[in-house]
Amino acid sequence: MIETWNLGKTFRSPPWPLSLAGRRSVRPVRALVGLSLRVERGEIFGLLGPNGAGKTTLLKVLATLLLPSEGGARVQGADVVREAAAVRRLVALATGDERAFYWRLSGRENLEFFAGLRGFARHAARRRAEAVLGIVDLLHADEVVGRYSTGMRQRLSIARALLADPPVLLLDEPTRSLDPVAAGRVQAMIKRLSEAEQRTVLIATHQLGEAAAICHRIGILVAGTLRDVMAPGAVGEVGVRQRYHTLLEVQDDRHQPVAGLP
Amino acid sequence: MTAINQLRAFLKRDYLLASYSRLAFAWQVFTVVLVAPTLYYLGRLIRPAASPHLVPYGGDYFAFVILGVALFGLLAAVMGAAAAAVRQEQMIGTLEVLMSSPVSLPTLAVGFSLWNILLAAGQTVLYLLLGVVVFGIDLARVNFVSVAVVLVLGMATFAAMGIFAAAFVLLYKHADPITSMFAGLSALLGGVFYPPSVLPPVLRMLAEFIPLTHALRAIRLAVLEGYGLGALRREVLILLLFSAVLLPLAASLFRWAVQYTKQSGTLGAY
Repeated sequence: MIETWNLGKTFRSPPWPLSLAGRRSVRPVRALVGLSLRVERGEIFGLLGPNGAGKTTLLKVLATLLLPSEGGARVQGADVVREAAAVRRLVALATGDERAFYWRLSGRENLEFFAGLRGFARHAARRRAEAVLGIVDLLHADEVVGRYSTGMRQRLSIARALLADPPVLLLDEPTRSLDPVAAGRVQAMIKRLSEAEQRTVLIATHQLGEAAAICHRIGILVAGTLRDVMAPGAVGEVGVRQRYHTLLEVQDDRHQPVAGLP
Repeated sequence: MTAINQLRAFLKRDYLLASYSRLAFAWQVFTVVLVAPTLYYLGRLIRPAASPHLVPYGGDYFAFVILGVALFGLLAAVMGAAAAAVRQEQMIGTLEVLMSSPVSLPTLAVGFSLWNILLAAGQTVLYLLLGVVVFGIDLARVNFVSVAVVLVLGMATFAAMGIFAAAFVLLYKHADPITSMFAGLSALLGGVFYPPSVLPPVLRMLAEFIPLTHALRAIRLAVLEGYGLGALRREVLILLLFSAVLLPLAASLFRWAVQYTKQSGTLGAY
């Protein structure tokens, strides 16, 4: 289960001397604003929103890779700030970042390494890697990742997330860059993972059709604010689409300077 | 048990990655094979009578310098490994994935460094083997307990410097200047190629603030003259003080750097 309350995240300019590392001054950006959300066990919740809406930021806060500026979040009851180590054992994040593998190693070698980081002993890591490769149906696991297609890396990313059999899966655009057939397979796999094993799945996507097809509920995130939550089963894909487009017409104030912030 | 499995995973990964560049490994061996005889023939120029500075260490320049080069290589690797690994993970794009894994920061720091430290340790052993087998250094008087204690304290001190450097890399996304600056200063003042006693008084005084000075002096006396811990207590206490002060400071700075990058959203940036 995932729970957030009044969650906010603002990125500010670094203070001197840390500002020497990058651009001199960057205006503050509110990536998340007062986000309160509850995702139940076994639920697939879709975060739908345009680029820059704050979807990845929310996933990263839940994966303990970002600290919230305001409010808080819990995963399976563990606080993402105070009990970050416990949270990291409960969640797995599958990013859309293709660089997040060792390209000179094979898919299997990558998985065995990350299984080791999850505490698996040598033989157990090998067995676990084999098992998750089967779940995501990844062929050519012994090829180096550098030769993989985007879709194969996407599957490998999901396979890595499944290594520790976590109760909570955070998927960042899991079907990005996939052809429709491959995307359909990944979507079916996500549904299977949720239904069969009662995993909580939070998916960030900007693909409306995908969200409507596999999510129990969809939250529409615009400029860091959760504007609406709906069940596609109740309103249908057309209903989701209408509501989404209406909300997107609302002025996106994310790129405006934030009043009261330095 | 979990930490052991995690460290084993790091070791296997680094072994696999290194096996893609066997040339680099061969070059490391070749360097030792090339440097050792160079030092030996340099040592033949210097006789004990001509170098009173070498007398406390038995008078043999080759034995003196090969120990200095071998140990400095090991300590420099201990210092540079974590920062280099953090930089590499930043560039590859895997740092965020590693940080979202349930690996504690101390395990992560050791895991980042272990392979490079083992390689450097192998190089150190090769230097000593060549020194003994080919060039006839006499190691009959080695005091192993003193060597072990000084090595642990020296490595702890240099690891602390390495953790400072890793924190710098996390914060600034830049190859760190700390390790190269500290290594350069250590090589100049710490007595790798000559005893610090040959330095002018001001530099000799500065050398006392360099951990390498004490680590090298203690190791040489333990290896070449068989000094026990009692005889080396000054050096041992100084190294203990360095590590006791620097390690917690470095660990705190590294923790803070991780928290800062999580707050600023720059953990995955490069």
